[in-house]
Amino acid sequence: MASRHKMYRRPGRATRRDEPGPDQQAETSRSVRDTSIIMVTVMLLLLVFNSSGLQRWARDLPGNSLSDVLVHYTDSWHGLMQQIGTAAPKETVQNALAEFRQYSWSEIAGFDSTANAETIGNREGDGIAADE
Amino acid sequence: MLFPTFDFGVFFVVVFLVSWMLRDHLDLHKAFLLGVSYFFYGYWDWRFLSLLFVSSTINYTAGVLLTSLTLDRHKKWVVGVSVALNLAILGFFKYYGFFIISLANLLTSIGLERDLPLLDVILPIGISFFTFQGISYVIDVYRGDVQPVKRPIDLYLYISFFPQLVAGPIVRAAHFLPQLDVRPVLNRAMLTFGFGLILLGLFKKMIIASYLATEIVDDVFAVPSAYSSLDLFVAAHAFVVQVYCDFSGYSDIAIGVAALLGYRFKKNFDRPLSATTLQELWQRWHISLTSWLRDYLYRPLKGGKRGQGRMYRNLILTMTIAGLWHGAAWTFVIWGALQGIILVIERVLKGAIRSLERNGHAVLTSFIPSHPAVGWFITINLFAITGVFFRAPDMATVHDYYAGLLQFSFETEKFTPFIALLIGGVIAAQFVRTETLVHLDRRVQALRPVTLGLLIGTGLLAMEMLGPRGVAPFIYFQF
Repeated sequence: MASRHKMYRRPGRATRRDEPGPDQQAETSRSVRDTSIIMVTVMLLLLVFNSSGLQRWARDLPGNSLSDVLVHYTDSWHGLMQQIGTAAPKETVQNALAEFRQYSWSEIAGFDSTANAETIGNREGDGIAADE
Repeated sequence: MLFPTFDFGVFFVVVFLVSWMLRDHLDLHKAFLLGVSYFFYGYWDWRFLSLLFVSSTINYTAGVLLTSLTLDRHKKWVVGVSVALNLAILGFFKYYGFFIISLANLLTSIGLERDLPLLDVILPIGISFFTFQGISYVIDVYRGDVQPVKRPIDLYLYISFFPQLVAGPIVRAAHFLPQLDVRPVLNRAMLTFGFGLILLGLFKKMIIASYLATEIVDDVFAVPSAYSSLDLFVAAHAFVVQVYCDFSGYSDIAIGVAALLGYRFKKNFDRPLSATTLQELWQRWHISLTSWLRDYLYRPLKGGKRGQGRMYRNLILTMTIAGLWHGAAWTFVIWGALQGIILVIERVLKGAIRSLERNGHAVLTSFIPSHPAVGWFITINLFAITGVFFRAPDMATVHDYYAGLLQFSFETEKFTPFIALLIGGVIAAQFVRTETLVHLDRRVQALRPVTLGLLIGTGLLAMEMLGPRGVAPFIYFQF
């Protein structure tokens, strides 16, 4: 195929791959088992500490008999987790972050960056202040 | 189906278990992956499954024809027709409305007002990505870089493999197809690599990109005239970090998910926000797209082989097309052209400095600051300020945005310590040394599966707790 395209540098040719040997196959089996253990651990952790997320997911499902059953069970599960107290850390963390997000520079550094500046809405032409 | 959702979590667990159960039956394994990939795509809108199928069939047929033909002239026809068909599909679904409106405006401006057929075309998700993959397959087969697939299923799976289907990375046939010839393998390194990237990607998307969007970018870009220059300046930088975290986050998850299924994708982002020139930034940002454009557009245009003037023209043309690829609007076209122009200016300046040094005027060049920090500062600010075109919905917003920036007002409503932490944290992370990450990876690989599960679960819980409620679609879905 002697054509003009040979002038261009090639992006990389395909290289043949060899079938995995017995060692690689054994390692694959081990890794698949390990990954399954990891996934089960993650699911259990989320079931216990993120029961509200599960409840929200079930409630967002399209309404049918199966989703009704799921909503019932996830409601009960979330209620149980609230009684035990595993749902509490989520609220605590969310509240702490919400508070941090509201921090201004003045609260952090002890000065008010907007004290002497014209306030937004009072600039000529933006019309927000005129409504007040 | 979005990656950071419960639905995808359930989907992936099932796919993971069944695909590994089928690994000794390669054909069945691939048929299963193809089936779930079509399910993944159809979950969004099943009507476009036929489009995916047709696109794959065009490219498969072109590959078969290229093997059977002997004359180069005929082969070129096959390549030309298949590329034209691919681009026609992309053009209709993505650019029809843009071209018709632009044409109508042009005709009106010259006094030839016409009623043109406007259609409300829905943009199929991921069309830009799978079209480019199809084109790369046909051209690579023509160039002899890949053998045409022996079984159609290989090509259909290459085009539709779900981790990369809707928002890339644009996987090359030469890299992916050979992986389909052998049974997939999984080892400890791939396992920790896969989970690590999935967690990192989720963090980038669910925490950083989501908060930057909701706390500053969306509001400021909606009404730029209501904000100070400082807020506008910060919002432009926040958008760069947002789009980086959004898109590289998606790529990270896609690469991680593929790794857990035994497939390797190349990296798509390589710390682009640490670049000291715009050229370097583009070599590190959306690598699968920029390398695609380099190999299938810039080089066939003869790149820089016919004099500097032609090279500069080709560079601007390639970047303008890259802009248009991102979206059907003049704002994207201008954004792309601007990137091309800045790349040209960079090259001209570099050439001028080299020329001065060669001609014994090193004293003059010694006044030019050469510290990498200066280059980094200029690069990131240029990228952020020109990025206004990328994010603004129309030219009126662009105008308001730049007019606001030039007012030099410094009161701030949106630039909070939280926003500074998000932007600063992401930029600082770009400079973490590779050795540190390798060392960390080794430590994680040594952990027991249950410990690893607890770590990953805690990470996911933290994200669920810290992230804003609900998941916005990834920005690159619209491309």
